[in-house]
Amino acid sequence: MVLFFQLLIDGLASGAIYASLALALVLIFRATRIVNFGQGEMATLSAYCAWQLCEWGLPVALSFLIVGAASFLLGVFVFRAVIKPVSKAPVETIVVITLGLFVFFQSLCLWLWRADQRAFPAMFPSGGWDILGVRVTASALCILLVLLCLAATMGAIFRFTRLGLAMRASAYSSEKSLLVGIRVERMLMLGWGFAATIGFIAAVLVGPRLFLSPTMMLPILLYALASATLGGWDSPLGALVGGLIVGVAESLGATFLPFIGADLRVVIPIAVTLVILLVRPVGLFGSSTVVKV
Amino acid sequence: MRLPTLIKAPLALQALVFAMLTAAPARAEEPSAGITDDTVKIGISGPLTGPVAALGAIADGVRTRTDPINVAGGVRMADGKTRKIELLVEDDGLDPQRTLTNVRKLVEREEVLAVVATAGTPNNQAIGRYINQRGIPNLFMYSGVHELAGPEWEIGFVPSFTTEAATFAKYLLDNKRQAKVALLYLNTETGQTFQAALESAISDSGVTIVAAQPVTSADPTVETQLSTLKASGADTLVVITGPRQGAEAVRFATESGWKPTTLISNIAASIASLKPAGLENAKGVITSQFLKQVNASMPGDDVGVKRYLADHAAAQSKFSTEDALGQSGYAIGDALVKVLESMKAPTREAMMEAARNLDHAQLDLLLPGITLTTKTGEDVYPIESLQLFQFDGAAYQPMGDVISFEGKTPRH
Repeated sequence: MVLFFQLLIDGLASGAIYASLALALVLIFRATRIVNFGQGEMATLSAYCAWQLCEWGLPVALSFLIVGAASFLLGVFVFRAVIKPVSKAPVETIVVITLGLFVFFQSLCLWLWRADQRAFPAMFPSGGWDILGVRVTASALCILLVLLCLAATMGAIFRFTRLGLAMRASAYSSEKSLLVGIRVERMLMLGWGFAATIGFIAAVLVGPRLFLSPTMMLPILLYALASATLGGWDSPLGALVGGLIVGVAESLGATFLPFIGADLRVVIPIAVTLVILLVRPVGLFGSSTVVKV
Repeated sequence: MRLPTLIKAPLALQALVFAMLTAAPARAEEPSAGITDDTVKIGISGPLTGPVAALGAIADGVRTRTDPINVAGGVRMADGKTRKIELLVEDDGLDPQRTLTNVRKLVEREEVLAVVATAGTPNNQAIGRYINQRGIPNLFMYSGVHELAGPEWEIGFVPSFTTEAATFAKYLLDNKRQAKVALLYLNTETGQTFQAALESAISDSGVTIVAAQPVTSADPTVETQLSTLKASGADTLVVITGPRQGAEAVRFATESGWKPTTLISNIAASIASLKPAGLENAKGVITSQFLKQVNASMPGDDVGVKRYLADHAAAQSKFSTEDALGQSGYAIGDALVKVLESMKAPTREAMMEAARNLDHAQLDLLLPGITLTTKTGEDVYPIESLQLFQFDGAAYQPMGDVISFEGKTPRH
């Protein structure tokens, strides 16, 4: 029984890792209706920059602030340089382009910093508590708390502020938004900027757990996509809950279902997502788009 | 009108095959493709990009050895001629299919004499049939599994995983006779070979494997597996995975308050790769090694290490001097030079013959007491000795002497 609860906690901890990237994916989808496959690798680049600044002797907090702002600019730049020129193109084109971003940023990190894994400065204490034999680490708990705050803030901004409304509107229909006076391009730009910053925060949260390497986000991407789909692509809170469900399902499933070996682990999140989508096609917290005729 | 040509084509083909068959004996003494009087072309396919690009240091390590030799004029071979080594490196991202494509390209278009240092067990598996059919030497594979798909034309380099398993087993039998072992293993030929060898080495003793968990290199974290291993009540953790999972295991073993005796395969035990887990957490970790410890700031007076550091500077190598993979590559380059030196004829057959009959060849970076020895038909394992080391928080300290399994590497 202790093992069961330990695996539950472990599942929540890895779920938090998936949720952090899922959050960035959901944000950019909400703001621009694009799934950015390169989000994780952009975050990796930011994380490397922060690590490099720390290595050069800057205080950790300062370098995180600098890179947080720089990530925003990176997002804006990517939008202007790569996405805007093809914004009228069909969705397949955009998908291929974001896949291109994925490859580009990964290769860039590999070229600049090579493949060795490195220690990423930890924001949270490394200790933990033993509760009836079940180990809970402080860092996992902190990650969850930070993510919860982030998701709540993001959700609130989208729902309750004029800015959020304008961003949602421009993502929904750029032409109609223009007609009512929303500066669509600026909104999309902001969306890319915010998503890149959230991605960086995600990388800061999970970096110490996963170790910094050019491919650290690669194994997570699949799980994050499953989490976002599970939770509903337009709900930040859904991404968080989706990530946690995926993490727990993976952890418990891989251990207690004897036929699932190392190779089948990755199937669990996909299977869970599929089942939930059959029951609720828009995901747990997603809202369906109603078209009135 | 098309019919006759259709019939003629196979006839022409037959004639060609016949001509090749009859011509073959006459050409036996003629040089093979890829070798002239002043150069020998050698191909390498390895992951320069992708998730395991760290292995790319092996190819660069080979170059680190051959570049300075070329600058000095080349290798004097046993047929009396001195040749420069021309290396052709292709990137395969550790994808076996791309390795095969690369090797085909290297053999058919670039016409290399041999390929060396091909990284990865599945990758060597993938090219085995091809190199066997074409008769291309696949020298000093970077794979801990030695009996792969091309037995006549391949030879490994790093000690077999069975040797490492036997070394770990010997440590446990000598020091911890009632050890309850938890095994974290890579779910490939690598991990399975190791597991089987470990099981058979401890079969008649008090040492037992109480739990085993497989991992893949695509798992984001391996904490679930480690929790399960901890819950098994094991007091010893044996890790045979890549560096990332190895470091995670080390951190988990300390952070979770488990603190088992931890033995880590040398593929994951380099100090650089343990660093992210916290070096204080890695204190007490045991590994087995065949390469010398290189500390660039304190080179000591070891001639081999000094030459390595000089070559590393001269070749402007891209890996750090302390990178064990780069060092392995350098040792492979060194071994390649030894083989070239003892080749009696400029042919692929002579090259295999030389590689298959190494007699206590000494390499710059091998630990004192470890040499390359092979024998045609009997001994296909160049390195069969390992020395145990324990990490003291700053460096690895030797534990006892070199443990030799010369001529008795467990088969698998």
